[in-house]
Amino acid sequence: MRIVTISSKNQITLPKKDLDELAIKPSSKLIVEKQKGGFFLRPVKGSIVHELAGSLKPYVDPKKLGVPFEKVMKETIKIVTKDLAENH
Amino acid sequence: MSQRTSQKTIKKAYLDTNFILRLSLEDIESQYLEAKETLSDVEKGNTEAHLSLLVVNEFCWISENYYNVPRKKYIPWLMKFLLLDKVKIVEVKKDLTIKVLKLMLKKNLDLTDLYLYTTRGNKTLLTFDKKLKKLL
Repeated sequence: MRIVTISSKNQITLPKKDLDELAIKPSSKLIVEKQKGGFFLRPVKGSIVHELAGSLKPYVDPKKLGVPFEKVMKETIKIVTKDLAENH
Repeated sequence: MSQRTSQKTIKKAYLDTNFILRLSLEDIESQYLEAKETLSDVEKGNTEAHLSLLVVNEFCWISENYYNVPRKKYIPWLMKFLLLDKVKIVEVKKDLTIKVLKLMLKKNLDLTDLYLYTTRGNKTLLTFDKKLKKLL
């Protein structure tokens, strides 16, 4: 853990030794995640697209996978309409 | 005397909701592979991906209402997608889109309501929506 100072351009400098340990080089990309009262910096390993690809699949009912987009739209309209009728 | 330039031609792509949906779900293989290839090209800086705010809205609407994906999963997915330098939002600054998405994580209102709330400036936002009224 260390304390760094924010410059007038809102930049911080991280010690080279720490960056070397994580193999972070100049122009490497870091993901900055705002967390409870602070920030968490995480190096982008490989590709963001690779991280994104298929990553929402585990949260979807398998029966809904592979449904054509036109049907997805029709079904969504039905679901939202039913919800509006029941709850408003 | 002629001067050589090394300017590369950047392709411009205009993405619809289904295109990014298939990347997120990896469920229809041919569409998934095409989306992944295009967006890898975007990540490399060879293609600019232009995305309408309407597409972002539709992605949220479908993810939430049809696929029942929790907000705390699909919003960070979208925000990470927007981290790609060459992904542009057509109508507004990317920062504004991210700001609205972040608000969606905190408030149980949809993107349209929170976009209106965020961009209202000094205007009075007129609405009959109780949840939105409560936020004002």
